Amino acid sequence: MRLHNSDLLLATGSAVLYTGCTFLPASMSLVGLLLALPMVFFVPGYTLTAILAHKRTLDGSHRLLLSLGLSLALDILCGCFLNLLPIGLRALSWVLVLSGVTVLFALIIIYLRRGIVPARTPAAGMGNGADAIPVARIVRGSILSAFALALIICALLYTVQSVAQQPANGFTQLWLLPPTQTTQGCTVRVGLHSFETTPVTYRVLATINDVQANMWPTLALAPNQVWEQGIAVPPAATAKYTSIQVKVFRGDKPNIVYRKVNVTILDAKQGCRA
Amino acid sequence: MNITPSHSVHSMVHGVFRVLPRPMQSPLRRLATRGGDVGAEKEYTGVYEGVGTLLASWFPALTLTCALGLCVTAYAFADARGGGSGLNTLFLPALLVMFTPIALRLLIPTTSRIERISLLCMLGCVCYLVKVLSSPLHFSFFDEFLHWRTLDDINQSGHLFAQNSLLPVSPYYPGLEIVTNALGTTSGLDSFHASLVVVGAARVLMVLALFAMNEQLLKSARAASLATLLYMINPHFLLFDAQYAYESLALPLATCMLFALSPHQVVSVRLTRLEPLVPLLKFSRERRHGLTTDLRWITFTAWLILVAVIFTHHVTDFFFDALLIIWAIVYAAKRLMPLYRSHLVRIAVVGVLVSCVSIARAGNPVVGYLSSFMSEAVTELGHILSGSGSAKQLFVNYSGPPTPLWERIMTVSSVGIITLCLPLGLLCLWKRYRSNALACTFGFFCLFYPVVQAFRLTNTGAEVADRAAAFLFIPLALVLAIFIVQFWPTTRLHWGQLTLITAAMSLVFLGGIILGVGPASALLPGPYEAIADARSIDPQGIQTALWSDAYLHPANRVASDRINQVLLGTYGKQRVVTTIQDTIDLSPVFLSPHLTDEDRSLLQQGRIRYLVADTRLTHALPLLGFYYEMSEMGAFHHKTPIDPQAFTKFDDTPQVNRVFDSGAIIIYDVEGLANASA
Repeated sequence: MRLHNSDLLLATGSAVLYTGCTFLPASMSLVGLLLALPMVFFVPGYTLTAILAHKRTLDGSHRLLLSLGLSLALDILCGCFLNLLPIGLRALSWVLVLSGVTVLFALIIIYLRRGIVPARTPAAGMGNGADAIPVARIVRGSILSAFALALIICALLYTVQSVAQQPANGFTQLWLLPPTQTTQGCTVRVGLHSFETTPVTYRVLATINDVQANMWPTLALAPNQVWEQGIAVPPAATAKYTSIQVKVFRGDKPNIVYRKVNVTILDAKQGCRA
Repeated sequence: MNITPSHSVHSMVHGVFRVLPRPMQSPLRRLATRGGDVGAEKEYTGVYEGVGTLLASWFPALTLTCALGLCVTAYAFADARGGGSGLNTLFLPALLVMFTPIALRLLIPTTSRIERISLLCMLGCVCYLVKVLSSPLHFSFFDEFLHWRTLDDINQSGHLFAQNSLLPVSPYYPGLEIVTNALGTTSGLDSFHASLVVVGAARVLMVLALFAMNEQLLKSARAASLATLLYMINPHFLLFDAQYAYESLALPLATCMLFALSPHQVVSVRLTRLEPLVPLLKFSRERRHGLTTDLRWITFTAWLILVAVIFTHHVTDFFFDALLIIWAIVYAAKRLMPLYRSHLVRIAVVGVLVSCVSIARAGNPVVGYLSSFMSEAVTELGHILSGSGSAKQLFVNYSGPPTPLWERIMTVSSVGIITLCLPLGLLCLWKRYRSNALACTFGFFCLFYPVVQAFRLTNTGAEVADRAAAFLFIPLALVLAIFIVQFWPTTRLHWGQLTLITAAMSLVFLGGIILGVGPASALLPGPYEAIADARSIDPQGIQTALWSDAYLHPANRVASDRINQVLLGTYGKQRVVTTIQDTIDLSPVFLSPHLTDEDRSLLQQGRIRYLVADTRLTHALPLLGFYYEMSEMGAFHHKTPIDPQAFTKFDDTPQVNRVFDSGAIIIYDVEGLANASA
């Protein structure tokens, strides 16, 4: 491999590693991310740009722009192609198609570059002009940039923390789900999920056709704790409809209905139908 | 004497000057003279431009000011989340800290090209981070939920084009979701974080593409950087085009296509001039081969990106198709090349054909979607112009106090400055760049800017003016940059002028942000507000939707208000019945004080299983002017919140089960009602 194909070697290497990362365990996801980012956003477009402009010298910013733009365009077209296949848009199919495209383009450009002598370009950070810049200014600039980056990261972390600790009114979910058939008749499921900010004590009262059926006098739930129970509904002797109602009272306001739900069962003898 | 078009325009311009008052004639004559000055822009390019130059320049210091601005923004958002007033006092100054020093630095002629590119990329990214800071943990903008649903369907099924009742047109334009799927599935990132990375990459692409395209046209890094900076003052740059929506990716791609096409005229004109020499000189044959290869390269790149745009966003596709057609017409009118040989015409034709195929795909509702919206807006505007309808009151806030006076002044000044500078910029463009077909095409598209502002007087079309800005600012920014560069040439530039231009740009930037952010900063963090998009997304709504997924199971047909619709459709994975997909307006079911036969009939038609009622809507007016649909009774004219009886009626209705209660949000099972009706 000639030296002036080192970029293609890097691209092909990325493609091979990208294919390999599919078989990594989930705990290695950071490696997967580091390989996926260039393969989705840069490498396929870079190799295509190299083909399209193999006889021209492209400015660095233009090469970056075309690599990014063409990679995104290739992703979209590859996605449409994958949609036609039974496997569809899955991790394995993506890895194979993006790596395949990259390797194919790399081979084409190696063929096109044969016989072309690479132009000598000064390496980044070197050159006559760079020598004229005082090192102290470069160091100062580097420190300022690093400090700015640290500030940006701090701003992001602070925001994430402020969102997580955002003051919000607590609330409690109460539900009563439609009945299911059991050997004893119908059973409806009642549930509570506390999203309150502090532990709360509840009183839960269930009535069937306005007659108390169950009561849970002191139900203490911590924040984010769930409570669920089944309420058996016996077949009604005379009424066509059986009405089940559940009311919840908070311990600190025992006379005010905090939450209420109700379900009406149509003829429990015939089956359980809300 | 042979009168050429340029002569006639020249004499027309001077004719107009003679009609104007005498004090205005002098500066305009000076502008007309300076407008054509080819030496207005003196380039100060260094011998070497690299990382060392960048680190030794003002770039690190300006990065630091941006970082400080971002820190202040983070604090303002945190304060607003806690109910404080930090947003009102700190947000706009923080943005000024980011924008103004960079604007000044870009105006200075000696700034190097690499510093300009780096500063622009940094400003673009920092503006994007402002949006990320507004909601760093989950989607919060309304449109983001619509696209998240499409992405979720692709992730689940592995295939495209599943139905999305929240935005039926979205699955037919899945470009953004495809890229997010590629990154998410192969990297292990979840949908939200993958979307942040994709939109961030799109933002970098947009800045680079704008700069490169403008540089190709204007042949000046300074002018190109000013044009790119001026694009950033459009009302949708800060937040709307930073959200997870198809335009955020399609627009950068389309701009990248324009960059690829921008050398087209130079290459094809050189090729045409070379043709007579080809039989005579061997060198000409080689040169022709090189130019032909370049043209093929340009055409292939443009086709590839154009097809990607067609799969990404309909309006961007149509806009750029129109731009290509107009460009081809201008190109033909300038007799640069016969139409049948023009690569530009081929690209435009392929673009239009593929767009037509895309539109004609079975089930693609894009024509109905766009035409219903546009016809409604145009009809409303027609009624206003004919006097049969009343114009929308500008700066109205449907749910609170009116927009403060200073905000009104800034907004009007922003639009006013642009509108005033536009004709001057067009004059400079004509004097200096009229030989370039793309520049002339841009000039033509700029004329639409004042026209679309008229839609701000309508309720349904007000969004048109905002949404058009993202597209119209591409040519507009170029024209305004030409005006700045030609009117204040680098050789005569002094600090007073630099300060004046920076101040004007900062004013327009802030005015654009106030316009884009909307009434009462609806897109920014703050306490809960009713029907206020990002401000209405709260834990209770999200937990209700998650509960529906866990306990009711997915794909039930549900009806709800604007906010709970998107939560139920995404977190809840329910099949939300919407006007846009099902052509049933269920708002009367929620708004009428009694359940009428018509309401029962609507529930039956919609085969509704669950109704989700948010009782907070009975305490507050909707910030956006409507609760359920723009077409609901009293939309944009609600004076009182919804009558509580409108929701309690369900408790008194037999065969309606109240299955869920979380205090503010109640879910009713109305299957019995629908069956009884059937």
